[in-house]
Amino acid sequence: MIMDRQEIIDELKKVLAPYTEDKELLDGINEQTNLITDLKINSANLVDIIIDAESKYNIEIDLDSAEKMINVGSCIDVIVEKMNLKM
Amino acid sequence: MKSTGNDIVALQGINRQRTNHFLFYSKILSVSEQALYYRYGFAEMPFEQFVWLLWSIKESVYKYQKRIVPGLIFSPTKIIIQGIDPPYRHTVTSFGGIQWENNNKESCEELYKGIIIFGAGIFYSRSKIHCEFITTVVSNDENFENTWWGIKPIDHAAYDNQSKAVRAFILDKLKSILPGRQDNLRIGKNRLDCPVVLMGAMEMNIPVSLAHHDHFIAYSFLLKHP
Repeated sequence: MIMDRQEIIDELKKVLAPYTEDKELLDGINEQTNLITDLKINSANLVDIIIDAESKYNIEIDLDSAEKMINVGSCIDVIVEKMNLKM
Repeated sequence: MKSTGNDIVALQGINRQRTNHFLFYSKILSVSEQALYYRYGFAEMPFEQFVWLLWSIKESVYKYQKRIVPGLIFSPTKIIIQGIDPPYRHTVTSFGGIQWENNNKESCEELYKGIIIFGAGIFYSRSKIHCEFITTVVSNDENFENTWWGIKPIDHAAYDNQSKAVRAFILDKLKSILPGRQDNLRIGKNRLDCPVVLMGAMEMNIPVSLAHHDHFIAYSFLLKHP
């Protein structure tokens, strides 16, 4: 299945939702939104997010890619890269 | 350059079942670190607590180094824990207190002591474990000279409350030990997004680290004993 970046953002919101209190900010995220400093996600949940993303998009995120997932844009880059590897 | 780093993990806020899954802990621990669980006599500690103990050490080292290395990215498996010594005959108990503070002048025999390699640096960790939380402070000084750290439970776990409470907690401590009146002391952030102590508009030479998770807050700072 091919998803564009906006579709990935829409799905990513569902992945991030359990880990942020600020649902209003989550609704309005863009590629620059930082997971920790903007969405106030506790760093202890970063591994949860990676594993939830792996499950949501049916991909495997290696450690080198995981460390790039700092903001929404870099999350999408990693997800797109891993989805393309499957095609 | 002087720095400090700390972290706290509230055990109520973690997913125990998920932590015990290889897919989860292999993103935090290297194979050699997984072996420490068996080598260092952690058999009585649930494995998920071991994982979060090592997480708290790694996060503390990252926060220590973030103040020194601009743009540093947290990559847990690149921070290598070489060894970790549990306290002798220690039983994990309920915290039960209003708060706990230590300035390394009082002996504390219930600490887990670790040694860590990250890049070219060697770091030392001290961790305190209770039924409710795991907290760590790190230093590049094996003796933790001039390292102060504290832990406190809070009533409300909302982010804004955690953030305000941990700043008030550390400021109370700093005001109690710095000479003179310190009414204009506050906590800000520098250009590296690290917390700093400000007196008015002036940044003081006191490295600080703040942590909060669920219903617990923690600080560490470096300050020569008055």
